[in-house]
Amino acid sequence: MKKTVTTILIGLLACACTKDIEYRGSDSGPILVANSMNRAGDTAYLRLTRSTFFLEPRTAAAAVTDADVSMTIDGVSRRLTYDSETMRYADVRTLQPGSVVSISASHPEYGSITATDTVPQQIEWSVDTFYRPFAMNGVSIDTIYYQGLDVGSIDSVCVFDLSLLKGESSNRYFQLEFDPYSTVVMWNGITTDTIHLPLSYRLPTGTMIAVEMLDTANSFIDMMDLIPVVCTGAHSFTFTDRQLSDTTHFEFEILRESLDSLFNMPTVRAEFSVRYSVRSMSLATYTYQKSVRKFMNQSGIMSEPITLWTNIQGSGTGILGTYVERRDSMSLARY
Amino acid sequence: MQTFSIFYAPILRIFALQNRYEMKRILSLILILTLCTAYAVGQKHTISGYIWDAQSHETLIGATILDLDGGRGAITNEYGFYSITLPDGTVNLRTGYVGYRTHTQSITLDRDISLNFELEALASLDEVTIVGNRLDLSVKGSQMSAIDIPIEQIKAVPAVFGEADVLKALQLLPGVQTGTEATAGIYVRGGNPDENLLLIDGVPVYNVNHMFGFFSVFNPDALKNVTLYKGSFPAHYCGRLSSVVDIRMKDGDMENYHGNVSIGMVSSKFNLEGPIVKDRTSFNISARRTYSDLMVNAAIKLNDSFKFSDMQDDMSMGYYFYDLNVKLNHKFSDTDRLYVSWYSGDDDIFFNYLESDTGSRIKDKLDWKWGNTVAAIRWNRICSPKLFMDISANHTRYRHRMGIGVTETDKTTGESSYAGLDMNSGIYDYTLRADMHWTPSSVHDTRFGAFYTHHRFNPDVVCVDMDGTFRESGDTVLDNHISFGENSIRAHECQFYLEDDISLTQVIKANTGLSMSLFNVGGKTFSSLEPRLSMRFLLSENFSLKTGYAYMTQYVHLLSNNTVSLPTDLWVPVTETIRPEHSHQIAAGAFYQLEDIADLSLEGYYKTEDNLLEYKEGVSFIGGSDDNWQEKIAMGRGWSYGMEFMAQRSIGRLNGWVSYTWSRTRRQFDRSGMVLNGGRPFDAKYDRRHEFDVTCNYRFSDRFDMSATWIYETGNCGTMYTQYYESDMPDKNVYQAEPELGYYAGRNNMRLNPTHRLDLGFNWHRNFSDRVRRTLNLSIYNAYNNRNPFLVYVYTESRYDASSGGYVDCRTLRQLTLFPILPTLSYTVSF
Repeated sequence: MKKTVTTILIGLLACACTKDIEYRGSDSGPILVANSMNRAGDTAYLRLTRSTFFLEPRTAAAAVTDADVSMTIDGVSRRLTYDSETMRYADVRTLQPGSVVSISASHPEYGSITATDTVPQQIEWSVDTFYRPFAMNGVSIDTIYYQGLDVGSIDSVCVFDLSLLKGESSNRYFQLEFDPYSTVVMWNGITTDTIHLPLSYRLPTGTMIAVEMLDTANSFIDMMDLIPVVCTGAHSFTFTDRQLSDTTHFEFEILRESLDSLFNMPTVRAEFSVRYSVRSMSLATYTYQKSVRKFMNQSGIMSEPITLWTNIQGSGTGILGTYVERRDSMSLARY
Repeated sequence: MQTFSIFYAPILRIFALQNRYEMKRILSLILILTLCTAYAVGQKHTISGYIWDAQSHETLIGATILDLDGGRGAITNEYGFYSITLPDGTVNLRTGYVGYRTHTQSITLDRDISLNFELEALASLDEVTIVGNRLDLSVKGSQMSAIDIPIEQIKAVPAVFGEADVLKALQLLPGVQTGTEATAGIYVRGGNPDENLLLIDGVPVYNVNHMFGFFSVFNPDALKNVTLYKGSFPAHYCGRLSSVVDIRMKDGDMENYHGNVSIGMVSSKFNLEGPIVKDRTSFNISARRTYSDLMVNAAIKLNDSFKFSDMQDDMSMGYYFYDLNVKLNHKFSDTDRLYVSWYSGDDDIFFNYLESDTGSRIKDKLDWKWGNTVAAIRWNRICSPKLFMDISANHTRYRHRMGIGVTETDKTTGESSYAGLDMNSGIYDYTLRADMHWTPSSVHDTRFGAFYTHHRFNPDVVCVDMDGTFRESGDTVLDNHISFGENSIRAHECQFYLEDDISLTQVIKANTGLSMSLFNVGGKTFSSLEPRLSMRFLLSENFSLKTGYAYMTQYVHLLSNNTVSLPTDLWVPVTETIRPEHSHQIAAGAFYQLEDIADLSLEGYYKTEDNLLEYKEGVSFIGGSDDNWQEKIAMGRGWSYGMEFMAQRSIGRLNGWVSYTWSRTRRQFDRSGMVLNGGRPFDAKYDRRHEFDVTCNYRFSDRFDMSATWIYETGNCGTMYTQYYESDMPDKNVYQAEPELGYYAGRNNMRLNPTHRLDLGFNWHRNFSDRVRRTLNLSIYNAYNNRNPFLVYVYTESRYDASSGGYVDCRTLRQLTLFPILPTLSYTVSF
């Protein structure tokens, strides 16, 4: 009898805790989503999808293939057709710095949207590298261990110095994407293995740039000038020229690990490189980026909800953005 | 004289010709008699004094004294003092108070008299505990939107874990809503929790929550009276927009010692009061403490399986809270009294861990503590039969501290190294206050006074300390101390007020007031002139209409997570950017006393608020304030309106109340740089359309009584992203996958399921002797085990999808219930 009563009581208590419920509230229904993030020099495009109700399974984004779409570049309008291979409405024209681009799309079920943006001008920048010995100051042991590095093996750092030259016009918006990595060829006793590893790096003490960072784990990293933060993998920094002096230097101390500590296998060859992109963005692209970052950085229920910024007018959301990009890569010291 | 001459003139003419000398004598006599009569009829004197409980000499707040012949009345103030001015002659007085037998006395009034009354509590079987509104708050009073709750009623309301709670009882009143289930926060007429002024013996308490809001800091055993004002605030209250909860501690029995000890499943408490010097000095002390930490640590010590590692030497951990209330009451003379009040309460979460190996000993320590201290010293003086003075000096502080530390000791050398982090925040107030209560005539009941408060706000300060050589890294750090955060912010606040309760006619009574407040911080001074008015139209002995208006200003804000109360919630002052909040509230209502059955009231209100605060979009409220806290805040406005009905039964074995509230609360944030919801209006988070409460107590016999509470309330709001989509980004290499973004139609677009719950309480009493009585209490919270929503979240699990041949994420909306059916027992011995 005691066991039965106890079981019932425990069962009651346990099943009282959670239950699935119906959603009670307002919902817009599926909305038209326009994604048109155009790089100068590439052909312009528009990707149209519909949004998914939050309780529906997330399959591939439902493409909207039968909308009436047109794109206007510098006053010349052209109707776009859907390309099932690229899953886009693609134009044959390319965008150039200074071009004014507009889109409009309408669908009998999802309504109509319009948007306009102007391609920004190219910016000038230069890059330089040099080496200096690694210094532990201000970097905590736990941080180094977390990144998987053996602190005893780090032998040097490589400083990457990117100077953005401030132009005559103001209110410009930039993004720097930075991706240091290593390509290591190791001998496993039978053959060689080629391993690509992201490199760790930090911004040293005194870095005062007020930018936001997003790391590969999509977590927000504070730029505290007193405690340098060690990061790993690709990062992007978004900022405006209001944050620049005449030139702005990004110094990344790339922590290059000595080879003997890597996987305990003999190293045949190792190459250390940095891929980087510098982008000049339109205000719409910049504002959208910041809004998306804020959304990605939410702390779940402990954060306030966010209304994502959009320059799409009408019954839809998304972005018509433009940017100018220069990419390069740089090889670091070779073992 | 004019009346005299008109009346007597014809008679004079008749006698004038007959006997002039005799006439002069008679006329002189008549004149003298008339003047004496006129003088006698206009003469008034004042009766003043205290009204006490006959047994404990505890003063009674809101007790009534009524002139049965003239119909004039007065009520006692917060210290049990009354003053009434009546015409000379034989006066028949009746005094009364809720739960006490009325007392009638005749006196001859020919001079100012000091007269104290002692009322007998109703204790026989047929005269059960009576609840109901005080005279000043009921049909005949000018005050509206206010309710007085006897402490015995609060103790009788069944509550979670069997812990009687003042704020949980207030949540059952019309116009007062809960936040999340079982939390003690109150939302009064659409206002936020920081818009409530909670006073204990006249001193504000800033953080009234234990255990993240599941219990309040007010121990009912220490209290005498609780009054809630929801609107039409008297002018002597200021500083908050939405409500005033005026809580008074017991003074202490001047005649006899008595008290009680109670043991429950979550906490134990005791209360003891009595005379230090009979009829001169008394004390009252109450204490309460939870003991889950004691049980947990006993289990740890007895059971090896609680060890984290083989190197563990010792461990202790747990959570507890305590409250301590102390009051001293000294009577210097019939005119002078001194009170000293003290409240102290803390919550503490702690973890201590000690481990050692051959080389070193390491001690980890976490101590997370938050709590209040309130202290007041008060001097009451009867300056004259018509003038009562109250001077006080008080201090209130709320502080929060979290400390984490690691101490490493080298067993060989004995040297130690330490690394630690401390977070501190708090608010400290020091106040001087003077209040005067003056009754110049039977028509006016006037109050005036002033206070000055020195505020010290301590925003989050983080200190990092390191000292010594750390074995693992080999690093040596000598006495390194780093501090982050803002310095203390000091502010000065003062208030001057004047209010008058005027009996204009038998039908019309008005309470008019004006409050002027000043707040100085950071070299800037804010000021506010706040008019108050409430009026009563007595249409019959049992029926009145009332209306009221109040303008309020608030200079301090609480940065808070609206979901649960966190100890890191931070009080901050107004600044150049964050302006004072203001509210206007008008209310009107009808009040009817259904004799011998119930007091009925129907009130409607409309309230607007300006400079309300919300966190901006995307802001996380973890971490409280930092240098940029102002940039995280948006300012906007709100408005709320509603209708409240209450039927309160005052007599009989069965007593309690039924209440219903219909209300709506909206917000709009459309200022540049502070836009929420695209600048469009939206429902406030705790907007609940309907609320229905039934609370009743029934005394079957002297040995058994029970209470029941049933509530129903519409679900509150939340924001849910209801549509998701993917996005193209120029830096897509940085993201592990294409970012999935959310869209919602409007803020607070989702409404949780309604809450309904039945709570029951049963009391079995037994007298062991004339003085000792024991009570066994069984409380059942959520008696029919309804799954009420605490929070809602999206639950994701991978399921195989045959159509696509792979696994897809399937989502459901899941509701978490915190408290299922919860029976609890407690045992109380009273002596």
